[in-house]
Amino acid sequence: MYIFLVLFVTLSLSFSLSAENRNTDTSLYIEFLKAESINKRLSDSKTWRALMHYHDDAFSSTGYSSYVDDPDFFYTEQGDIDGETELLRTIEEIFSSENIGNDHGQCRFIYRFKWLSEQLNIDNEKLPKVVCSDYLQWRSEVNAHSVSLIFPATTLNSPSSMFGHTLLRFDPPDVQEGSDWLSYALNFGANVNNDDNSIFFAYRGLAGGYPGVYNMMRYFEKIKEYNRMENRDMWEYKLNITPQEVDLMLAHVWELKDINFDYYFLDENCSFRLLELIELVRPEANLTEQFKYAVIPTNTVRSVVDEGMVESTQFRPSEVSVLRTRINNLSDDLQSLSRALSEDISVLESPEFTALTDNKKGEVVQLAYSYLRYVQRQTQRDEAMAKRSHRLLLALNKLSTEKVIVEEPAPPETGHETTMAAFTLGERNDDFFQQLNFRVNYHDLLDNEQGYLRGAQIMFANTELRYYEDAGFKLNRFDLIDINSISKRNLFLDPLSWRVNVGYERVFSKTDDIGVLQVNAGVGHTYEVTSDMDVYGLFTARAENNEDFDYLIEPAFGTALGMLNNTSFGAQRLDVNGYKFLNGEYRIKATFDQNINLSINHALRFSLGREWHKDDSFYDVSASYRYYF
Amino acid sequence: MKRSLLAASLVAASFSASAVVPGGDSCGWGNMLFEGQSGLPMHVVASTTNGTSGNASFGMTSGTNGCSANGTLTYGGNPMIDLSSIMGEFSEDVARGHGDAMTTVAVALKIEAQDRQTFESVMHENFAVIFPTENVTSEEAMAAVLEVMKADARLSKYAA
Repeated sequence: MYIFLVLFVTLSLSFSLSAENRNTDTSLYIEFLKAESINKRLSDSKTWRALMHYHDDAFSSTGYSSYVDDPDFFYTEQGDIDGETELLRTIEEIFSSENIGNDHGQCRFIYRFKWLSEQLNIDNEKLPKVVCSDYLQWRSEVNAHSVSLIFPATTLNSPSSMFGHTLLRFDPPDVQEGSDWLSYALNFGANVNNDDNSIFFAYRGLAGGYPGVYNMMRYFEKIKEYNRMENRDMWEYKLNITPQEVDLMLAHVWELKDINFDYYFLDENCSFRLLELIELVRPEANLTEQFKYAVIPTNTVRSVVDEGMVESTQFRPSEVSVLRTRINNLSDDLQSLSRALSEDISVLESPEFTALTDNKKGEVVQLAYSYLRYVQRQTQRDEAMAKRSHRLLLALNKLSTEKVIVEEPAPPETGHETTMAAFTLGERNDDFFQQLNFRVNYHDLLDNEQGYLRGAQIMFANTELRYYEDAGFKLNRFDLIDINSISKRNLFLDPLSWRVNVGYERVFSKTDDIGVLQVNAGVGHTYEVTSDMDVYGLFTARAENNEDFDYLIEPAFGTALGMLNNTSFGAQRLDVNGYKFLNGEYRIKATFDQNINLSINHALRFSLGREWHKDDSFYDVSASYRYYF
Repeated sequence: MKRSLLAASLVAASFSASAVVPGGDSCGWGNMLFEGQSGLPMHVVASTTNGTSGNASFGMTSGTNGCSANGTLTYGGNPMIDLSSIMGEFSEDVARGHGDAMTTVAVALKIEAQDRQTFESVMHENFAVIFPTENVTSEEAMAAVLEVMKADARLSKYAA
């Protein structure tokens, strides 16, 4: 059928060569190209599917649909589920004699046009001449030659940064001599409506209530956002994408200008969209297929590293990392002096200050200034603070200060994998048990800290299934969410430490172990003992649904005290946690856990626990083998 | 005293008709130094969803950071990259005489590599001229940068 059509079109085309009427000639040529495209099954090709963002979709009548949720992206009404019709129509549009300008098919969908020209050997002479001035201007402004994957890492005390984020940065050829601050960053995120002040917008953001869009801005806006406002260190991975491939990527990025995608925080998120873009120019890389479900940005980084696409890695410390380093570089006395100076500018005239060497003066003033900037970021502009900041800069102008070097941590992709399974043997009150443990993700305080942020625990769906000889299988615990942020305070920085846990657990209640649903949270302080050892104290609250209790939900209040020590062979923790219910029942539990890192993805963990209750007290000891994958 | 007078007159000279902030009211050029962070709830949501807040820009010189496309700050007849959001970093770098923000401003002003050192030291020497008070706006500081450059033999060609 197709062959006949091609034959017919080819024949009629050869007859029409002598024809005077260009319109007929062109429309025959278009028919020929359309037949060719059908013949070559172009609409089934990987590139076309990628360009249209098609994915398998059981709910679609064609078995697939586009992630794009915007009629402006398609010429045809069914373009989101019918690739062939859309392709045929695109061929017509690039030959259109109307709208010669930026809205023409050749300008609107640059990549589609380039690709179709190549696949069908389209004769340039037969195409209408169109100048895409907007695209050309944009493309010369985004003077891109190479591309880097940017990963702003997790930070303590910001649940929104839990999994990190990824974006791309396009650098000009001379970025080394110039400034990467001026390079363009490509970000995919929810387009949040400024006027929407409802308390639901975080929820809406997660549930897909806001459309996702690409946008581009100068990279310094992103440095400001992540390095400065959110205190996140940034990792920059220069990819071995060639300038030609960069050109193709940008051609497609232009097609996505102002185009809405469905946005879901967990799967169709920033990471997924960026992987799609990379895959478009490196179809053999297969980056997106590995992540059908939740795409965790660290794993994005891991996948491009594993594909051998990373040329070099750069670490850009956050402003708070720089501040912490500046603090640690000064003696206690100078820290106090600097802290005092930040409050009172007349310290500049004090004998303690004037006695210092110029070099030390510079460092003291710099720290005082950096600290004020840090404080200022979290509040409205303060007249007195602004005045002090300015005076400090005037003083700094007469002194000098060293460029501070923040010690570079191990990059995130060198850390353990994010899913964990463990096998445990243990004994609880003379009852021997075996236990299987499975955690969907991500990291707890005792896991190998390489590539992770110390003091930050984030767990989703952490499950412990126990088998007791006499009682059989028991779900010992299921933590839906378990977040713990251990953030140490010093003379300058006063973050809170906190924990939140929601889930099911088996607890001793009255006479026996029973399962309860519970929510608990705590807030408090952490202080440094040595650079590797912290102690913490928190006030805690708990709400428990327990069949032994009179009320559906029984509240409890308590405290938690502990010590966390990161040794060279693994982290250890001592935690004493006690709480008392309003009905008088109480539980106190002391645990000591020791993790032993065997390698990045293998570890042993030993746990000793002792519990005290109103009527009883007993112990719980275990040893597990943990595997991360 | 002399210096601040000089600065004041420089600023007045170069932006005599600047009753309207370039790029509009919500544009960063009108911000004073040491601006705090406002709009916290918005920020939380934006970062939760890794999103932008209502201003989906696409990398054009203007249109970012709340600046409207017309009335962007210009120099030498060319639209200027909106550097208002890094003025805080720039002031610190000028005070010290080095830093990434200073390099960024130099590149944005198309200062060639061989003149960057001069730019850094001229800026450093003129800190008090460029940032005479804590209430200087980004726009005033940028205007003073250009005036200081005009007064320097090697840098004047970049500020023309």
